[in-house]
Amino acid sequence: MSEDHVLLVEDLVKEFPGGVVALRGVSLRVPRGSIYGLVGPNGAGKTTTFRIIATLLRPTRGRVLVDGVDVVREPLEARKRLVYVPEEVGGYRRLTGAEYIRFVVETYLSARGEVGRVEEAVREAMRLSGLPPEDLFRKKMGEYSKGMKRRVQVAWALAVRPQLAILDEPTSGLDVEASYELRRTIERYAREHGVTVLLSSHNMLEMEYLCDRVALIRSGKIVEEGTPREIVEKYGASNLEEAYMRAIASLEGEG
Amino acid sequence: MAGGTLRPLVGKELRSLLREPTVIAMILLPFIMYSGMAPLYGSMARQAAEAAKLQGVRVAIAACHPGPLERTVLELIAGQMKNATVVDSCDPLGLVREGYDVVMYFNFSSRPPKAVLYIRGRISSLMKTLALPSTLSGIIKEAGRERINVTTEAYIVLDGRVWSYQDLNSVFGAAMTLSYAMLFVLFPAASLGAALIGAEREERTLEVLFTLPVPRRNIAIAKAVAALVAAVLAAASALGGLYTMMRGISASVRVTAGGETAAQASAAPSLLHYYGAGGLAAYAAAVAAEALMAVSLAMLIGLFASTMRGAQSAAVIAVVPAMLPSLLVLTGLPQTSLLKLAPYTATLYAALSPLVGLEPALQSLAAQLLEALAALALLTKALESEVAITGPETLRRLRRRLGALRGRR
Repeated sequence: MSEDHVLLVEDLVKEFPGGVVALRGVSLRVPRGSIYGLVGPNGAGKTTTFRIIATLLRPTRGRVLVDGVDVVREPLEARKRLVYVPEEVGGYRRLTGAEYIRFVVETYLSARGEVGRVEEAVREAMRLSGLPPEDLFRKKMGEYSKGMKRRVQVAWALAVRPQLAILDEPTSGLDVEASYELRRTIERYAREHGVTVLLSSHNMLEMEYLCDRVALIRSGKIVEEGTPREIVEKYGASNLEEAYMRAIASLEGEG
Repeated sequence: MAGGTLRPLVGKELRSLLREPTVIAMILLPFIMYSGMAPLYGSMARQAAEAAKLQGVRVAIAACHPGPLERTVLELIAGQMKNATVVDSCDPLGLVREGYDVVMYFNFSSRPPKAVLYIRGRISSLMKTLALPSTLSGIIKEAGRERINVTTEAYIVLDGRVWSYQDLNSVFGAAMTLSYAMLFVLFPAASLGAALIGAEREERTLEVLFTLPVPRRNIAIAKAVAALVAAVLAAASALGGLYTMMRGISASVRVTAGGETAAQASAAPSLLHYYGAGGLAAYAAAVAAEALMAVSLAMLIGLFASTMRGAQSAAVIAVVPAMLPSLLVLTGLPQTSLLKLAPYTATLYAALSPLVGLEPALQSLAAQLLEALAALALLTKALESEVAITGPETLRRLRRRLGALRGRR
């Protein structure tokens, strides 16, 4: 495991009972401190890859190391190094946003033996969420919009400063303004505090703007990997979206 | 006109309801439960019938050195029964030890004459044992007609211990109540535990929770503890309410009946008198152990449900078997069987501890604790596996496969 890479995914295969093959040999190397994007259509294997890295699913074959820790052999240790925010964000409907943030931050940092950082991280998460105190302290999460829930989830995921923050479609379903704000929060905070972020999105422009490197995934396989500029130039495209479409077209041509 | 629009509306509502698994369960469960109980109630009825006919009961009609007239009375009574023998004995308990099932011991020197019934009881047929005094008193009255007025008093000899009939009846009543009362804790505990899992899935918080760096066992324990605390509070509220209601009723009875009922009520021995601190502690521990198992099983089954309501239905599946052992009290408890090691029997044996002793209760409690811990370990294992995430999908796939199989047929 190279010290420059906080996440190493090697030849990941995932076959679900019933013969559905979701991943067919995915490999990724995510440099420490980078923002890394996984781009692909629905059903390409993005969420399955994330869930395996986050110790929710077990791979059929292959290896995942998070900061040098094997997620299958030492899932608890791996979870001390990562935070996962799924695409379908939620929140306990009977807890306020502030109570939720305190619960997850305290649990996470206590497990890491960083109890002394709890108060600071809770304040940080509340600030990062951008929610007014009225919403954070008075409203239960059951009354929150999808965007508010997502801001709370991303905020705590960054504020605990994990080695790896996995954000599955962090801006999906949000309006333009909310997406923009959240993207800026992720970028600023990750860069400022050296948090490695692995994220997915359907929004190619967002990925091009945000990510240091991207991997294009299709039918459970990585079909292209590099900086957005490298990929755009390789396909002679004007942006990542166009490059992605050309990459797919060339694959279909080969097929 | 109204009928024309009502028909499709009712049709739609019925289709929605009858395709709901919880509704189907609600409809079918009573049939399954009651028909399943048929053998138990059959056994109860058989015991009562046997008691009425004194079937298989060996009776000694005894008195200490009876005179000729007294002997005639004894023979008159013996003539009313099939297996009765007149015996001259001054040691009625000795006759029970010799193997008589019932000893009717007459004391003609008291005024009026007194018949003391000593009945050899069996825990395996307690209903029959408790029905015998009434049958035997009836026979004595019938034999004496109007000419002899005999008062009766009954004692039951159970495993060498002599119980007054009233005491045994009270203990049996208390055991029956206690063996059912644990459901006040088990049902809410299982339902709340399953709801806690279902809510995580419904509120889409399960994945974040499961990626927090805490052992899944701790998550399971935290949910079980929360469900148990709420269940105990619910049970305390229910029992507190019942107690208040009963006090209200007995206060009204005292007002109408004067001081006599109050005196009787205060003379009635308390649960502590029958059970002792050890018995009650064993019962409380048994309830906790059974509830822990119910909540663990409910959460385990609930993992396969995609909604909170579905998960709560799981609680019913986990708790219904807990009702069966308490029914065994009515039908008879096989003393030599391994029943006490079976799940959900710990509260039953603790409830019966004044009758069968504390040792079987403790053995049953130890077994139940192990079973509860095994259920918790199984739940932890499931939470650590993919099932925690893919449970509902696994269930859907299984249903599709079953559907395909049915289609092929």
